[in-house]
Formats: sequence, structure tokens, C-alpha cells
Amino acid sequence: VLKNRVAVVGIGETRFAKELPDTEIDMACSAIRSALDDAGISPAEVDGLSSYTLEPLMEIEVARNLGFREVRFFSQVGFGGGAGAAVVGHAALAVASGQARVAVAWRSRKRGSSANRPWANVGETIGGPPAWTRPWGLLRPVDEVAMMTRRYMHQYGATRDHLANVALAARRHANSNPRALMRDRTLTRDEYFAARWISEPLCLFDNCLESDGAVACVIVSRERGADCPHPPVLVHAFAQAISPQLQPMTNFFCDDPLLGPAWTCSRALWSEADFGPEDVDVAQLYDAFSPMVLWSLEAYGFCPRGEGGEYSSGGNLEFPDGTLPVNTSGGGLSEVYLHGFNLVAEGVRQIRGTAANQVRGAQTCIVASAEGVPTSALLFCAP
Amino acid sequence: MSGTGSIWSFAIVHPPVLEFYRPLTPYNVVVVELTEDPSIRLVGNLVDPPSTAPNSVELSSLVIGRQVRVVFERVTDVLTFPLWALA
Repeated sequence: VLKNRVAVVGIGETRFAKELPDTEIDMACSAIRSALDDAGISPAEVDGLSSYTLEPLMEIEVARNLGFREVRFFSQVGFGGGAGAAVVGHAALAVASGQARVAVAWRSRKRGSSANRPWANVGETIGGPPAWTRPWGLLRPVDEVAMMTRRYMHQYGATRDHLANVALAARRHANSNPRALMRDRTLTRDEYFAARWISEPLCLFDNCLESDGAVACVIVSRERGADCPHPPVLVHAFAQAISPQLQPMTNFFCDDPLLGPAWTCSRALWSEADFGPEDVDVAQLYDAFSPMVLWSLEAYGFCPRGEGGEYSSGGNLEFPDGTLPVNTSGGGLSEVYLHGFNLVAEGVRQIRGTAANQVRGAQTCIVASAEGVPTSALLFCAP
Repeated sequence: MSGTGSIWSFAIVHPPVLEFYRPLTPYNVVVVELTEDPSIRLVGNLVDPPSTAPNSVELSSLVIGRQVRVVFERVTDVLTFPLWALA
């Protein structure tokens, strides 16, 4: 359906910071406006909206404040870190089907302040799936991922050195990205190993940043995209997935907990594509926690199952010399954490040829959202 | 059911955490697979009876594959928690 028929023609961002004074709606409008300017398209032409469920009512506010006229398509995707690629994918499907002509997709997020974190809310009682984990002190996302990581290390021989490979690659990329929060903060392997624990086996640097900011993009047909100022970045394929028996974040109870939704998503994605993992020039893989990058490398077929750690060694994920530069803006670990939507913007820049850490001649990029929750992935390619 | 199982995985939780759990840090959380059917897994804590605090065991006791047995902690009249002790 989608194959190269739809394109991302505009990207926009606010500045990124640990904490910004602006509201989420201010930041969303600002990022969308700058994405439309980047695309050379008037807000009056926007008729499709796609966003995350974690921004309730935002789409109405956005439409009114930016002067959109008749909106004919609007969609919100759930599950936080799993949603990023799907927010773009839903907009792309709407444009491909003719439901919308100019769609905007965005994520605006304020999480720098600890009071804004979902797990800051507490209650006397809990129900549903968390009732099987929270009472024993498995409280934060990092604890849930730590449990899965320990099992992964045991089963495949992955080590903390492998996790450090991911964190160090992200930091090195951020150090040469002027927009990254961590642009001036270097990180050595010794510093990684000296860092405090958050939830063993994960230390501070295995965790993403908590930060404020917004990113938006504009999606139109390939034909319309030919008139825009930047070369269109084609949406080659898009997939979404829920794996069998999935329990988000605490997928300990199914037959094979280490085969998460990314594995299902991968099959759907590659079945839509004219190329394979070996043809991907640069990758943006959701990294709220460093082990997720290793899992995504395996799930999306960049290496065999269980070999993500080994694949990450020898600087293999680092620009410019690695086989597969990953999270070239610094990702959620070191650029900004916006539920992975900064990875979408970086994917677009890589195909345009305008990234801070530009992979030479990049023609194809994968953008994959979170492993472990209902997830999604995109393939971008050059026209 | 024999009430026994083995440690499938574990995490050791450090601050920052909710106020209630903070005095317990660092504490363990385990996932245990049951002897009779290892595909049935339960989240719990490894404890050292008679204490049922999740920081009552040496961290070195936490090893994947280690045999454990269930112990029950009565929390309120209507709430009892399964916890795990070394077998």
C-alpha cells in the first residue's frame, strides 16, 4: 500500500532541555509550525493529524491554535515508546488512501520534572496486570527492563560491556550534535562502570534522559512532495505489532519472553520491503534503555538472535566507521527523550543528507519503536 | 503443586523509588518458574525467613536457576503474598 507513495517533507523541533517553561501545547504548535515552514506548506492545508495517546485533547488545541481548516483524519497511537513509528505510519496510510492530503505527526513531552512522570502517581490499591508485579517492588520501567535484561544476559552471554557499547555510541553521537542535551558531556567506559546503579544490571547510563521538547513532521504524497523545498523522504514500509500473549513491559509470562513484539513487527515490516536489513545504511532504534537497542538489532535481523551484544562491539554502532551507525543524533540516551520521536526526525535528516553525524550517501534508514510494548517500525528511503 | 521453583531472573532495585520502598533499597525482585510447569512464572521477592523483607537475603544468593520454595506473608486479613526462600 505504502511503498514509496508517501513522503516526509517537513520536520520541525523545539529546543531541547531538561526542563522548559513552555506547555506541551505551546511546544507542539511550535514544532508543527516549524515543520510546515520546512515543508513550505500553509497550516490551512493541513487535514490530517497523528499523535500519541499520552497527549489527551491536544489535537483539538493544535488544530485551533495553528488555524487548521477542515481536518478529515485524526489518529492517536497508544503505548508510549511503541508508538513513534506508528504515529508517522498512520499519517502515511491516511495520505496513501486519500483520506488526508497533508498530515502532521508530532510528539510533545514534558518529563524533565519528576512530578510529571507517570509512576509518580500512587494509589492504595492496584488492579490489572500491575497487581502481579508492583506489590513486590517492581515499580519503574527500569526495574521491568532490568528483569528482562538479566535473563537476556544469562541466556546469551551478553555483558555490561555490551550495554556500555550502546550508551557510549549514543554519547559520542550526541557530542557532535549541537542540539543534543549531552553535547558537552563526554562519557568513558570507566565512567560508565563507575556510575550508580538504578536497577541492577542497569546503571545510570543505561537509562534515557528525562527531558522536555517537541518534534513534528509533515507527510504528503510523493507527487506533492516533489514541489517541496527538501527532497522527499519516502516511506518505504510501515508495520505495527502486538506479539502473542504480550504483557507490555512485564512480558515474563509468555512462552518465550525474549521474543517480544519487535520480532512480530520485523516480519511484517520486511514482508513489505524491497530490500533487507543488509541494505540499511543507518538505524534509529528506540533506546529508553540500552538493552532495547541490542534486542531491536536482533529482532530486525541485523544479527542473529542472541548476538546483539557481540554485534555492538568494536564500535560497530558508531558513526562514521561502524557497520551500522545507530541513533546518530544521540537518541533517547543522549540527545533528548521524546518517546522516540526524535529518532523519526533524525531518520529524515539522514536521508536528506543533513544530519550532524551524516552517514555518507545514506539511502535507507530504519526507525524502530520500543521493543517490549505494542510497537511499530518504519523504513525510509531516498527518492 | 510442590510450592517449589527456580529463579528465572532477578533485578536489584536502587533509589530513586517510592517513599514506602526506599528504606528497603537495595532490594531484590525475582521471577520464579514453577517446578511442575516452568512456563508458569511469578514475580516475588527472595527472602530469608523468619524475615520477609526483600532486603533480608545476601545479594550473592541471587543466582538464575537457584531452587526456591514458597513462603506466605500475611499482609492483612484479606491479603497474603507469596514470597520465596532458598530451598
